Amino acid sequence: MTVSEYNKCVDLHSSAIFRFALQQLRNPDDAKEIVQITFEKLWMKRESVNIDTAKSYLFTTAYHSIVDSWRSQKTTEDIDQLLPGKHPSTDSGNYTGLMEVLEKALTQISQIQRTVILLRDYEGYSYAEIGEITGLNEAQVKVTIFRGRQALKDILGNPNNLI
Amino acid sequence: MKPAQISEEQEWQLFELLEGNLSDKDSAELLKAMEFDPQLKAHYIALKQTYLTPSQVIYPNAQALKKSGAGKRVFFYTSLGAAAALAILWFFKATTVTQPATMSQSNLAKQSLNNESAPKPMKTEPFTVEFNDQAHKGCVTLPDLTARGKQPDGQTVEINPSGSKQPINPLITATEPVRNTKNASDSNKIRSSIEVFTSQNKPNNNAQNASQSQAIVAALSVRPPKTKKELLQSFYQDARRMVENGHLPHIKVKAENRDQDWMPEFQVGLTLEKNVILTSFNP
Repeated sequence: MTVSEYNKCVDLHSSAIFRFALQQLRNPDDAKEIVQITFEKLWMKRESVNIDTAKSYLFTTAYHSIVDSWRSQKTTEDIDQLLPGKHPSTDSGNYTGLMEVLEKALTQISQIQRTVILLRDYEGYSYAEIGEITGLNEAQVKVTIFRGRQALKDILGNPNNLI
Repeated sequence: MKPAQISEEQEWQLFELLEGNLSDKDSAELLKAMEFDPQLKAHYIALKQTYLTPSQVIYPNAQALKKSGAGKRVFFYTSLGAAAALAILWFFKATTVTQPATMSQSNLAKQSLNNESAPKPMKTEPFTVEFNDQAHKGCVTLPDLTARGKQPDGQTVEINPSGSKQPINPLITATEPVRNTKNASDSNKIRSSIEVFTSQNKPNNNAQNASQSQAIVAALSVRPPKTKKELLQSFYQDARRMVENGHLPHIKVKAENRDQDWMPEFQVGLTLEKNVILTSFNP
């Protein structure tokens, strides 16, 4: 991959990676860090990654970085729960639009379900491509998407689940 | 109001329909069935709402992620050129250090040449030999200079060629025939051809002193200052000799990426026999 192709990848995919990370982590600063890490790795591997596979490489790298971030966050949350008066914050704001409600519902399903649904809906990836990114096979991806949508449907059908 | 439950098979059918995995015929049948089954249609609408619409999110620091490869490439060649120039300059500096650098020595050489072409009676004026560079400090030892009122760390030695009044101390004798060679390795040969010994215990007579002084002049006269052209010729001759002797002088360029970083470190080294120059640049 040449420098110009790398810069083209930045133009084409940086916002998508940022949106993907933002949906997963719900924190703009963390999402920006994921984007920086992801493109830094792409630059280091530019000799072996061509522009055709760059998008898949970027999402795979971003996903792995997000998983690492989840693990570190989980450790932090576990410590927070041990401290008195510290509980995970529950944002019970007013949700006016369906998309806002849906985005809130996304935070309540499992991480892998959220990942595959985001890749499917936002990026239009096929089951095989999602499988390459997440390490699942096509059948597992399809089932995971189905279970995730069922969970979202249940959450949307019962507004109390969002509070 | 939450619709009544449907079977998982029906859920799957709705899912396949929304995913676009059903054929046209199956899709038409399922859509037709939904018209007669409000619960199935309610589940279809609820499931359809779970599909996300891509939101417009723009990463704000995209320009900071971009790389300017052309500039780095120019910088690479600039660094490489600078490193090579420094290595070559170092080599020529090392070559010129071995040449006589003082005017006094060149005057001695001229005086010696004049003496050889037209023999004249030797002058009784004292002349001065100065050792101003580190190379001569290393190869010529200055023995007991306190006999002439000089300190050992002094850089000037006065020698009277006639030696009529004072004994000469130190005595410097050329032990090898004088050769008029011009390559860089001559300095070492000249150094090795000069012996310095003290006359504290064995004072010499005046005739010996005179002949030894002439030998000093002759030894120093083979090292006239070289011009740039001569230095280049010397460099070429030395390099050719090294190749003939199996030592390959070369400029070794090495690019390293030690920490998997995208800012590589460039190293340029000039290897000459056993002396290795290594200069590193980290842009």
